[in-house]
Amino acid sequence: MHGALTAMSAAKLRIDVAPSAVQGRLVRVCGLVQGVGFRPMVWRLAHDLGLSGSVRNDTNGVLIAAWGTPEALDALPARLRAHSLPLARIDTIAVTPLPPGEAPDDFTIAPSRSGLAATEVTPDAATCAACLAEVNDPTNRRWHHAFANCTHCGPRFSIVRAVPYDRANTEMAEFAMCPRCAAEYADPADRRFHAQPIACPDCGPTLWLERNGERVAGDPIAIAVDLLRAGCILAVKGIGSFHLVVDATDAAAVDRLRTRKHRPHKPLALMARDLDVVRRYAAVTPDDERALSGPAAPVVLLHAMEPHALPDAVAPDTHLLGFMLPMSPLHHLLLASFDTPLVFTSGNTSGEPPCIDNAEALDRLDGIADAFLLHDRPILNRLDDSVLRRIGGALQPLRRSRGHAPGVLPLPEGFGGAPVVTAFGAELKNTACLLGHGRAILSQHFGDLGCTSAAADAGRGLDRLSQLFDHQPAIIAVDLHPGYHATRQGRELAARDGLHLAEVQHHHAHIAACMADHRHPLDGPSVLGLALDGLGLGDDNVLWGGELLCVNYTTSTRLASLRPTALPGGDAASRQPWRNLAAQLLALPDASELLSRHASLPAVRYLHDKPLGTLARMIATGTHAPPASSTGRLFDAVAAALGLHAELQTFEGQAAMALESLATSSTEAGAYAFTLIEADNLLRLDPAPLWPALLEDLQRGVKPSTVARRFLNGLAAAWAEAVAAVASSGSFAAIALSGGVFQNALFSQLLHDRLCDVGLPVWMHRQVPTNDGGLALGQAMIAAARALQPNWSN
Amino acid sequence: MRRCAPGAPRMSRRIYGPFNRVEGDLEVQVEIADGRVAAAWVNSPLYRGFEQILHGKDPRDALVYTPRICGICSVSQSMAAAAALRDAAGTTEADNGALAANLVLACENLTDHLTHFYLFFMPDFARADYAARPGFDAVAARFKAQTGSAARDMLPARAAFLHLTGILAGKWPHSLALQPGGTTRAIEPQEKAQLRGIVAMFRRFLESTMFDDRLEHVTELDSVAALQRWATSHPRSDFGCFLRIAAELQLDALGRGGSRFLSYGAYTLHGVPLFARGIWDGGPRPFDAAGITEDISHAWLQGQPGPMHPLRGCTLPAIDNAAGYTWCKAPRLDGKVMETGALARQVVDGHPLAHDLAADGSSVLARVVARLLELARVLPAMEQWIAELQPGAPFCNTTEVPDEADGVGLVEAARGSLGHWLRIRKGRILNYQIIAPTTWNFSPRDAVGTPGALEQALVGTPVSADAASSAAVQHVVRSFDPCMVCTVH
Repeated sequence: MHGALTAMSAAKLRIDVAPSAVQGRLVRVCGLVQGVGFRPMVWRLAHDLGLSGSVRNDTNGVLIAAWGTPEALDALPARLRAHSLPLARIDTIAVTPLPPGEAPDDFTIAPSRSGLAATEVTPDAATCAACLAEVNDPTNRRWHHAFANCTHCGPRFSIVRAVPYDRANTEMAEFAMCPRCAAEYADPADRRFHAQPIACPDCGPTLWLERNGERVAGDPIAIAVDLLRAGCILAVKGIGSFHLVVDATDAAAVDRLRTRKHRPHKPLALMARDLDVVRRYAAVTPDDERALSGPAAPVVLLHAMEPHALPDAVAPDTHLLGFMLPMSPLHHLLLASFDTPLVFTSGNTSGEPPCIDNAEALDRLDGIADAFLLHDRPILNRLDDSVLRRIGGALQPLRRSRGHAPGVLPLPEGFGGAPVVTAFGAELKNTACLLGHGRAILSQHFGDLGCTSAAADAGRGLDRLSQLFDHQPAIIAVDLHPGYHATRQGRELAARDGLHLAEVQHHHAHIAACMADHRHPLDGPSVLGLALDGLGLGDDNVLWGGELLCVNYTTSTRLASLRPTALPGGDAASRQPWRNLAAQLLALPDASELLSRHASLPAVRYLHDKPLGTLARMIATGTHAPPASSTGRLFDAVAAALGLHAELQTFEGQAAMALESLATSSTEAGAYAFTLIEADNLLRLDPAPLWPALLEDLQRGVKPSTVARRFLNGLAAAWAEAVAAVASSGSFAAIALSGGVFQNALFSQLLHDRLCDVGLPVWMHRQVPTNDGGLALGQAMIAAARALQPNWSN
Repeated sequence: MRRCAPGAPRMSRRIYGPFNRVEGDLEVQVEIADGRVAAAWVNSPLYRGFEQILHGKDPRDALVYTPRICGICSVSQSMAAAAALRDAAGTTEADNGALAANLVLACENLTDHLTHFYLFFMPDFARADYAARPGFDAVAARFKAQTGSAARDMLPARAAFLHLTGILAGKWPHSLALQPGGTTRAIEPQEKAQLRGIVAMFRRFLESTMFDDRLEHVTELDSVAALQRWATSHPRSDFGCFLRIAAELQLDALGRGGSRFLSYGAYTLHGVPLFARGIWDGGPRPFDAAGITEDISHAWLQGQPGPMHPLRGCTLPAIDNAAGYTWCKAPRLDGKVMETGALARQVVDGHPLAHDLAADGSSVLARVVARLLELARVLPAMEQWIAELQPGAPFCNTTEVPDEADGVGLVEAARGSLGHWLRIRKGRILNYQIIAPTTWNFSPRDAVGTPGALEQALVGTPVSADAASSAAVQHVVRSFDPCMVCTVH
């Protein structure tokens, strides 16, 4: 950093300050200010302004004691705010006077003070341009060093054990710095001043390649490249977790990976060397570019070019490709040899959390990976790749993890005095939320807790996060559903520690998460919440999933709902879309006539091979066929009618995703009708009229893409009508949309367009996932809001 | 500043000013006889000089300078400058650009109407003068300046509505997106939905708070009698509240002005305006811009031998003009005083309610009702324009401004007819003259002594002997929604 050195030499030409003019001030800076190069920046500023004093990290942020002229001291806050540190964020600057007599001679960086942890642990950040230039410079001592980093980039949360964020509290503690790294670490003018994970080839972690239980001699990157070119599957230890990697252009290798990983269909993420490579396969908007090349380095779902040169097996039945750019020097070095993408999928067997430990990877990924690219910097906190998608014109996170976690959201107005809450989240896409001290901290993605190791991992992850943020809850918030692992864990903790347990209805929590995402104040007017998803337990102990609610942070009233339809077989109906098609058709009064009229249709013939009679009896007697107003299952039923994964979904949302991709290829404006019926103060959206029209269309040979689009148009129009019907009944702040169905960008856009005419702001998620990954935030907000009620009793 | 009071004092005289809740500086001098205003002189006590600044500049600079005349009607200044340049260049707007420009102008005009009603005009009825009137407490709670509940309802609605201009023109005020060939901000399909949402939200505000009724029902009101019936059946609406006060205070008899109205025609698409171009002088008359002159005999200005067409006119300060009492010129059409504004637009366009309200000349009631009628009439047109926007098609045609040309840009701002006259010689601005709406309405006397529109409207206004300020005078002045900074540009 020549610029910084020049700045420092210039700073040595200090203007002498007349002693009488000297004042002292204490400047407290809060926000994302540790581990981001903040103290050196303050040091340089102080020298520029001719200030003496000190700067230190403590648990509340950064504390500056400064003496100098009133003009220089006055200039300091604005100069701090004008910082150009890529990873820093200043929330507040508070200034108090200090006695003038104690002015020291120089400005120094003081050692950290430990105490109660209120300062944020920052997310991991992808390699910055300066470090990348060094790694690619043969004359630099970090040439080809896979672990180069500085205060602007590198591993953070994935290696942090405790706060304050100092090397001794990270997984780098065991690596003794070489003299040259130590000099950089101690030089305030250096980009690596107090870069806690500082490393170089002399003293940093070691990279090696292991095959058949033995280390392979030679350049591990070069060998890894050769193996990938030969069609081998590599397990690569990255930032936050292992990936399984193959050449994405090699169809046979991709198939082999799918077979070994037991992941037949779910789309595989891709990593490309740079944006130019990405652009050859997918359309990239400026927003996408910013996200892809930003410090979080997430997977961004992009519209694939038609046709593109990658094998179908990479992402079957979707028009999307998920791309990311290299997240560390290791990945840059590996990708440098490829001008085509590599598959970078999570290093696990399907359904398990990805590996983080070398021994664990060698054991669990044996039989999947042909070779292992390993290193000896441990991963402490497991982090999956974050995933973003453009929905309704803006990028939304579908999964917040590496690069985003731990995410800190300031709380909306009114929540300042909220008690400390831990929310345990949902069963699938589980995350937790720590609320208190004016902020909500969102955990990393813990995954699907149905898997024992994921559930255990989530427990450990939550414990560690609570320690890092010194979070001691008074209230535990859980879903109403007693069967969720997260609910059970939360209940156990509440019982063990005698904490208050707040049970929160699933869809109420969804809408509250969206409200918090839009900083809706505690005492703001109610919102109309449209929560569309797979399943969540309702207030009436019935399964919900297509609900229009009148919501504030404490209460939720159901205004409209999809007509409930049986789930024959219970959970089996979530995996086998045909069961929902059968249930939908059997619910029609003229079911048998309709089935015989369309007996020649493939979908109907397919159903006739199934035990329809048994299903009908199960539904009639309510045996293992609970009713549910689920939008997800309605999507499944329509997908099944179109022959999309009717028999079995190998991952959640597969049929609905295929349906969206099919409908995206159509510009049809027509829509299937739904009926709106009011009964017992509840509007019911009945999909019954949809089915005769849909089957008739299929009979007449209307294209499946047109049929799919008519369904989405119809559902969007029906909900827009229902929303418009209730919107005039009260004064609402907005229409909030939440739930997994809004991951469907096409449906979201269709509905959003129609809802615009209601005359209320339409809120979609922005920073928190619309799926169950955002649920914990809503749970925490509701629990906190209830506790803030004047009549609340613990 | 020296004030020249014309004529010898015969009766008592009073000076009102400065006025709060109007844009810019204003002073009104009245002669009082028998407790009523017998004569009035309207003084715009500020000189600004935009026309001199523009002299010698590149013609395109007008797009940068003229919007700075005003912070509340900058879009209309931009539109007039763009129209004058377009006229000079002999080009046309891209269809999308014309729609977008109309939307942005409508957004500003409706915002101004809203602001005028809630923040400038209605708070007068919460003055202590009216404390004894029945229902005062409710009016004060709703409309009192700074504390009334109406501002809390209206300001967020206004702010949300202005997002439309943010999307289509980048910012408000002083956007550079409005160009002779259209607008520079093309929009995406999602933004079109956003625009619809913004307009729908504003409609919701108007229909729930301002009118408590569908906009379409308001636009269908076709007579004063129908308006009275409507007021009775919509007592909860803010408009209804105003109509109740207006009936009590007989605002239909206050601020009576002439019966001559001017409108340049508003929101033109493919050469056809939404609100007709023309004049009303006892009946519809065709409008010819060649008949416009500006007289400086009672302004602190010099350099014109007599009334001149703005293309030839000039604006040179002359503080020593003994007959002068204002910085405002006296515009006339075919030598006659014209009233301009929402009422003029609606009368010229032939709306039956406006005709009925102004049957015997303009009044405070007619001016205020016409603004709210426009809110109800323009918003549905905005919905239509948004529907016609074609994302993907061009928003702006390239325009080459010639080295030698004349151009005229005539638009309708919230407050009325705004014209820019431009002469380009050797690629530079030789002359740039602007006639703003309030220049028409707050015109001083002309060479033959005919007072301007406000000066006429003030005559007969009751003035209590002791009050330092008169509520009635305030009502009359504010009913024109003056913009003084534009007046003296």
